[in-house]
Amino acid sequence: MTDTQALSCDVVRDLAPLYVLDALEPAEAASVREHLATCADGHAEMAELGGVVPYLAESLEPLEPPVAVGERIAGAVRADLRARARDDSAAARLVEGYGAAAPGEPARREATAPAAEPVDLAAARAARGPRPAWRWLLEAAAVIALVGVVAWNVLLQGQLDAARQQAALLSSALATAAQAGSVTATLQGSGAAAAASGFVVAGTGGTNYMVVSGLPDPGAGRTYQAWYLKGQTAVSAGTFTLGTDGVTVVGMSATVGAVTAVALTIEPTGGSDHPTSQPIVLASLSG
Amino acid sequence: MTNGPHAALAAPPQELASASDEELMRRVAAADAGALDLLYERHRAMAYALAVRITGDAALAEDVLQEAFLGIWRNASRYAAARASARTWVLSIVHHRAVDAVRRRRPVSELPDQEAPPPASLVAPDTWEAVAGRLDRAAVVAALATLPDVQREAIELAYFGGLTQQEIAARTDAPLGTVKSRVRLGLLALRRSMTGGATVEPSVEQGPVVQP
Repeated sequence: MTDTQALSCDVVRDLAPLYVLDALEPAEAASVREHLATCADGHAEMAELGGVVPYLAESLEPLEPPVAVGERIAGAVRADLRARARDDSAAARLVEGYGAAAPGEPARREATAPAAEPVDLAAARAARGPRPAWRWLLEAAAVIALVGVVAWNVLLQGQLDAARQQAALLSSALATAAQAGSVTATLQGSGAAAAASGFVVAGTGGTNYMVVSGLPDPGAGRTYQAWYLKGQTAVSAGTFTLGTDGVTVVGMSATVGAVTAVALTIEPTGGSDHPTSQPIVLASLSG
Repeated sequence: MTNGPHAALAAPPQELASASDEELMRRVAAADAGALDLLYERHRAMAYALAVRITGDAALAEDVLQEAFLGIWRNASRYAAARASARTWVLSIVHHRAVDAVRRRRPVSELPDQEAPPPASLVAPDTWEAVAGRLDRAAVVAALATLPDVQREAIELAYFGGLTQQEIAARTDAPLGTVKSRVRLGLLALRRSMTGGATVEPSVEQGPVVQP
């Protein structure tokens, strides 16, 4: 995205104070970074000025984040671990399939992965009876994850990270859906989102998940926001942006009390305290 | 509700609990989820304070925290090259994500490059370790208070406001060169206050630095 151009040492020194504060336009910052990566000069001013930056953060009064944030992070990290283990075994199978020498050893992340069992999709499917309508979404996401493995060297790392994050969330959604006592509800789109489809998984603790495709772009300055509906009351479950591959997986914080439905509205960027528009997607959890 | 998928949140083993931040970073790079839990536990309060200050929005700050720590989880292997303390590295990533979030709310601004590493002190040997022992918030606040108003304002708009240098110039009605000079002088004065004047006075404080 950046139109970088070579900078002289003098210009880099001139930009240093704003660079260390992360206050340059992205293109400027990229040019400075490029210069620093190759410049023979040590650019000691970066250390001199940058060393002050930590003090600025420490001038703030510490503030405890809500407990749910830590739980979401811990959950996403573990989901990522499981996804990596699956990526690795999928890659190994792929190699075998093409007749090349397979590593024939456990996936490299396995040793450090927590004890959580990988989701046994076949067993979960058998237990659930007929093929659910949302299966194709899972298959699409599985293909995306596989593409991530095969194209490791050609995809930009950033794209891969995004795909991984979605794949990790999806694997958490699957793990939650496979838990005893979890509830899965189908999403119904209406109005601008009439083409939307997907499902919501409410587990017995931790994070709930929404897997949805076919959502239209919310428009500039607008965002999607998920809500837990409890009778006439709506409680925010967070804002989210659309996934790049058409399928969006959202991790929603756990809620307290009986939720009758999950709804999506389009809100101004940053989200709202209460829904300011009619829900365009709804999943009923009662009955 | 107690035994959800996140039962692994249970207290980390003793061995981990006594590990240094830098040791935790090495373990995070080796995909140790417990190490990330602990890293979060140690730095969450300052990380959240920073995210709330920059975004001015508790819900957005929560998203920033989540994105930042997942970024740390995925990119911990880059930390070795940072040559900064783990806390500085963590906070610089939180800062970068928070600035990213507020700039996205301002449609006029060019969108930040999300995948670019946060600049901050990542290229810099850190003064942190040397002074961490006697660092306290009151001292930092006092040092900030001694800066001339225009310098403090420029630094705060940049660091806490997420404004670019061009935006600061427009906001404070000052030429770009003046903004850069104010920030430079302010940072250097802050550095002198916090390191007890142990550093060598820079020879040039006005305008572009002359090539040595």
